[in-house]
Amino acid sequence: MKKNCAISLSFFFIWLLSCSSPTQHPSIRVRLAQDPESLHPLSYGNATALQLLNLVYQSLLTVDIKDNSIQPLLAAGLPTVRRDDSSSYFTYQIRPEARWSNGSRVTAADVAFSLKLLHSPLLDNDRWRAQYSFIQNIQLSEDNPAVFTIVCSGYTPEMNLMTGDFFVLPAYQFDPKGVLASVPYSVIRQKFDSLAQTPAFKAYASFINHPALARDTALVKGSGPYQLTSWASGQALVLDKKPGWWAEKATTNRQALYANPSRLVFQVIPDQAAAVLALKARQVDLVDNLPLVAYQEMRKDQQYQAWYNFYSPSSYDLVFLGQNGRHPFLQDKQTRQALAYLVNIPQVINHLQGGLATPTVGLVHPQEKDYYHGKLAPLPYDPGKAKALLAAAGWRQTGSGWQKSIHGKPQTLALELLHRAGNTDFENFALLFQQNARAIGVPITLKAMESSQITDRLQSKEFDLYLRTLVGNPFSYNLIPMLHTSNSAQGGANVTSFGTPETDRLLEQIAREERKAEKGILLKQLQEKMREESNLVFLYFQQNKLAISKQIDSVVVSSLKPGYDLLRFTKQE
Amino acid sequence: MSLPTWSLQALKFLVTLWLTISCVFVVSRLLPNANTPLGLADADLAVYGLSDAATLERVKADYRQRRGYHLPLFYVGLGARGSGLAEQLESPGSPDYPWAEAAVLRHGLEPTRQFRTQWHAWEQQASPEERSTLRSRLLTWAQAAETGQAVASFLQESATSASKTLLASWNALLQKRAPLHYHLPVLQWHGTDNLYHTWLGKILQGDLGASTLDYQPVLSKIGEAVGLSAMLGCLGLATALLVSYLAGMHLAQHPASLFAAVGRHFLYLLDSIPAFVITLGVFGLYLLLGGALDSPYLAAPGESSPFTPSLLLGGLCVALFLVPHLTLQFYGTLVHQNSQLYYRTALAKGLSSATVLRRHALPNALIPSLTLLSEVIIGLISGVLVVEVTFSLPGLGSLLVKSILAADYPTVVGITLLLLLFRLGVTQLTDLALALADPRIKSV
Repeated sequence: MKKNCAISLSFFFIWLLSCSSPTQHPSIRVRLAQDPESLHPLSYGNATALQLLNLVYQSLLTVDIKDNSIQPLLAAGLPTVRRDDSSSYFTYQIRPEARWSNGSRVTAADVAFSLKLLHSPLLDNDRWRAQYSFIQNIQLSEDNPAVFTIVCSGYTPEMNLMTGDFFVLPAYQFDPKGVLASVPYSVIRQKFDSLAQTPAFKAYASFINHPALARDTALVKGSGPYQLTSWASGQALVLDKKPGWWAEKATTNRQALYANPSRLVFQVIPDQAAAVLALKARQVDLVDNLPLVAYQEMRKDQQYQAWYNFYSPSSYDLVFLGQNGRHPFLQDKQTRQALAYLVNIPQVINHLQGGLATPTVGLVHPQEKDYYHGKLAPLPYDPGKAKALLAAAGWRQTGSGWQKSIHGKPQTLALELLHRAGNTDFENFALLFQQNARAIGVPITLKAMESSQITDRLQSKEFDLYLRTLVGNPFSYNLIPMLHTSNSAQGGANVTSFGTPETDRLLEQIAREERKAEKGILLKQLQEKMREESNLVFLYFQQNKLAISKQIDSVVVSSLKPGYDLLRFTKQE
Repeated sequence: MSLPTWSLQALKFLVTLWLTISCVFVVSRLLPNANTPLGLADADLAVYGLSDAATLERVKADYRQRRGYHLPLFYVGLGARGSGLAEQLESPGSPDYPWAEAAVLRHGLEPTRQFRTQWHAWEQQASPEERSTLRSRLLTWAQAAETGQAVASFLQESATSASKTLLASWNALLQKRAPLHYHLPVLQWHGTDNLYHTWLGKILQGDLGASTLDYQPVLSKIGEAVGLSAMLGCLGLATALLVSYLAGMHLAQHPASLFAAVGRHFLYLLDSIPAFVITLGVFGLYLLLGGALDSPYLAAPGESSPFTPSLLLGGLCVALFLVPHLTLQFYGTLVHQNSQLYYRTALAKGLSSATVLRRHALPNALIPSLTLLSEVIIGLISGVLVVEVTFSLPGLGSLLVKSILAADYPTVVGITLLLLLFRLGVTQLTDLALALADPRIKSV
């Protein structure tokens, strides 16, 4: 009887499993490491969601990740710029062919609506309000519904991209009652607080803050080439190409207007090991950010070489060691420099990253030849030099460590290094650094914390050293928010209190400068200054590790997120 | 059980429930980033955008106001005496409160009151730009980032009479010193206008709030996930119970057979393998044998069956986690009965060993097994979590992990509440089942 039970139980499982047989589909299957959670164009919460939203909604401009150039998307061309003393004016024209999914034209009114949405009260648009606070007004042309001018306070070169870098949303879908249409943009910004009290805006907020706009297949629709067909939460998303997408009829500036795959399937596999298994079983066509060991193993294996192409493009994710310039121990830049000499970058890259990382001397990516300071020698690992610098900073080596009298009190140099818990790269780096520091008598305590806890400590300036990843890009060198001394106050992004009046001037010049050669000179000066100050010790740019099926042609991988250009892919049957 | 005992039990249950979820709520509000809007937490980590410190602070203040996070957390709180006095001047939610508080703490109540009156007079005639510049300088001063020189120099530059009066009042303020006792901590009563009160009121009405990720009500979000986890748990548990019962009986009946010896060792081995390795092993084996990832989009509407391969394999994994523990414990208690006197008596009376085992040993072995079972059921959630993450199943475990990582606290509180109810429910049921299985327990 028991035997029968056991046998029938196993048969039951096998039968149930065999009910669903695998089916081959011409769609391109991509592994996602996390569920997008929300496809709300205003309040989405993670990079995955942004990747998918970029297939559904469009902005005026985009970046072609093949050559990192700015290309018009909904706009017919790049904006024309006019400047006066205090403002700059970016005039755009929308492509005449551009259509929403209901067939109606994309107009300047839609752009005005989208901008108002970014600044309306009661909505979860906080980060956009901060990011686009420089946009003062939008002026619509009276004779052409496709022409408008965005008025910005002041001028910085990256406004050329940023004025066209927000999603243009269909007003008919996101504001059917025309609540925002009746209020001018400037009024929304000025009367932010009083508008929040009006019943019309309260009702509108509950309309926008609705789950349906975040996941309903009927509502996640824009001017982009794809529409959401199905979404099994936490499992898979399907995006299908719209039949007769408007851009196929477009005639000019077509470089960014392409969408080859007819169906995209995004398989959500949070577990790294499960993703590797799925890749090995050929269940997905593309996996990015593969674990190092799996990547190296598969790359050597002949079978996987026959199935996949492997890529390791350098990303703009920069790993750095931050030092608190306000901390009494670290106030002297020579102490900070000494610690910088304790980092053994070649060892870290070879042993922890398997050679798959790009060393750097500054925060400019080495592939940006015009701006990268190639003549600045990488910092060597040099304990002797570190000791000399500590001595120069007034520390004396004694039996119980390095001592110095600060504000009349004798202090012993001992530091704490914060890093994100669960990140093995950081954990191993921290251990190596601790070992190197111990060798010259500087005790370092390691503290693994959750990312938001680290942010909290950084904001309140209660830290000594920390390890983090900075997300850079090749377009914006406006480093004022991150490095200017005015932003080292509470809430500002300059958490290490970097900066001198000289670097502040340099940062202001860099932010204004448009000429490549001059900007290059200034950026190189900044890299030298940052090396001297050593508030941020730059280690390396991470490299992505991708495997892409050989069935896919015209593969474009890039340093920019998401690291590959899905829309260019074509898949052989 | 009598009525008073029951009511006492129910009261204990409610108090535990209230204490736990209150703690979860209060802790969730104290966590870093709980008051920071989406996407603004890591402003120091991206080189893009033009937001300066003042803009970021303003946006964050608006966010706190909108969400009501500017209110005090609880009915009472500890604060410096000076902070309490500053509340007479400005309400704690107002953008001017931080500098007013700093001014009272450093320079005393009266000079601050005078400066504030002048400030309001100045505000009437200043342009919006001037107002925001001066306010941001005052806020910088409040954070002790500078000595007040920036405020003075700003007022010196503007030549209006109101500015001059304000400057004089500012200089007067800076010269005064606040009494030391302003820094003594005092217990402050915040009244019912606090976050906890609002939250508790909503909970009592059955409103757990909405997820901060996608605006979905927490109840419906949890409801979707519970079904799947329950199915996964039941499938695994039912299989595990059946297998453990059969295996335990077999091992007890034939303790000396080769099969039993091998089986026991196999179970010990299985027990020592971590859950995630078992899950990955099953997943890998399935893919190796030609299985496909779950593809809900391939199923035509109406055709989709709830029993997807992932769910079944997940159930199998859960069963694999439970079987060794359950079987070995069950077998152990059965063997323990072998040495009991009643067992030998029954054998001496001529019953077959199988009958003795089933009729006499089993009921006695069941009591420790029931207690064990309740622990296993409560612990099921951890096994279900591992399975859900590996097989990308949208159940309770993966929802909890996602919500914690994304700081979606309403959902976290909701799930905690549910798990707590589940745990207490299972314990109560076990007590009841034990009373039925062993009449002696009732009288105790």
